[in-house]
Amino acid sequence: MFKTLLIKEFKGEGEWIKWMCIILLAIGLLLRLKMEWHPSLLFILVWGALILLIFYRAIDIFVKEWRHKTTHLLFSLPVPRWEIVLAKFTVIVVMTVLTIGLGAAIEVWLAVADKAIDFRFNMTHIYWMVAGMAQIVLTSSILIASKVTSYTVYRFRKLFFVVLFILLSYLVHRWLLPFTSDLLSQMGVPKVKVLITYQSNTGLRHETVDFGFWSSFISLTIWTLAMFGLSSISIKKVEVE
Amino acid sequence: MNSVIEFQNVSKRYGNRWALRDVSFTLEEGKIIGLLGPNGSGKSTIIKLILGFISPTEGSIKVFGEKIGQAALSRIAYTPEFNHLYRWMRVGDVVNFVKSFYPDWDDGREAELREFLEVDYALRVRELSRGMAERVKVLIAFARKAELYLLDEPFSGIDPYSRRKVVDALVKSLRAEGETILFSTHLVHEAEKLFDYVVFLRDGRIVLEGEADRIREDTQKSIEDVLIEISAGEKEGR
Repeated sequence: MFKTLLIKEFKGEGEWIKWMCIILLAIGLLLRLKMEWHPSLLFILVWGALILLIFYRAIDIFVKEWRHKTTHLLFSLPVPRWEIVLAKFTVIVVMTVLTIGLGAAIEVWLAVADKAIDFRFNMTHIYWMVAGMAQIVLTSSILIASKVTSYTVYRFRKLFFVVLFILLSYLVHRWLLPFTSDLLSQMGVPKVKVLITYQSNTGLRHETVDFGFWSSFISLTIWTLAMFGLSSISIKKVEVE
Repeated sequence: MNSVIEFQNVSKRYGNRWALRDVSFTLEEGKIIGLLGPNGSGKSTIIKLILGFISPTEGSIKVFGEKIGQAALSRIAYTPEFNHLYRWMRVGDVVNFVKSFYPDWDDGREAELREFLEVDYALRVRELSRGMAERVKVLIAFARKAELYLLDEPFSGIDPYSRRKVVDALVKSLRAEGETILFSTHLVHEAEKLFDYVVFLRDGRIVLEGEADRIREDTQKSIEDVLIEISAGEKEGR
């Protein structure tokens, strides 16, 4: 039954996923052909816009069920409500991985062709990419959790959503995330010193960053799961009007 | 006979407004029950409470002798008064989607209803007229051999031809014993002949309930006339 829910979610988001891929591929191809353009800036702008689009989908993936009253079909099905949440989370995660992954692949392709960002393609780059991906998934899951939780409030749900989103983001990013990260470091999860090489206006630059990749990644995963838990608990309490 | 639905002193409040006040009733299996009343009398609230979509502010509800949960939901077929189908899906996708959740789906019944209701599986839900959407909703409910059917205002805003088709489909589908239908409507004319038992609601309270034939006999009026009288009473503040 979960499989059916998942397929439904993928088909429902199919148009968005299709257009995200088409836009990324089109801009990549355009930059590959137009050498005189400043490719990195343009590409990053488009890529950034698509990441914002993921956040929008994270909110809308539940809102649209209420807007079109399809909640009456979805919640009358004999499935646990957490499976409904999990199916929606999965689609957002896949959307993120696809957008970042495809964007990264195009970036590498452009870099190899020597027409785009002069990042050296190494493990560091991949670490940052994965950490960024996890960060986007976490932010999307905070958006989903605060949206679903806001439906437990009969009135003022929009205000409740905004306040809860800010609160959860602050809580996770400023306090809980570093705390988990430190805890994991103390437990022996190593921090990695990474060298980032990038092209600036003044030439090639090198910077070293202490990057607790694994601890950050694990804590991001833990907090994403916590947001999934919050969404699953909230959706059980949500009233379908 | 076993009771399918039991409401005990159930009240529901939305903000400051009471949608239902101290409602108690027991509905037995194998009957067609009309939940009748003017708009805003609490009919849809009762159906949402049965499905667990909303929780009662006071009182308790039992469906098939237990609190509503997945097990009870798998025995219920439900159609709301509005179009609750995914607009991007084709009718065939909707049928397959719903079908995959219910082992009681009857392919024979589905084929029969599809032909009778003249439903085109190739159309997208967003392309359907209101009447046709209603027919699709009836198809996905009655293609199942559910134990309880909840129909919320199935005639609301649809053309007379579709209305007739829906009533005839209901009559056609009522074959198996033990199937209970709870039917909420304020348009009684088409459905009057179907009811075994009726519950009249006004301002969130039950004002009259009983066997349909008994009420007709006692009042010497049709169910429709009784409903008109009750609705008029609401307007006059009686």
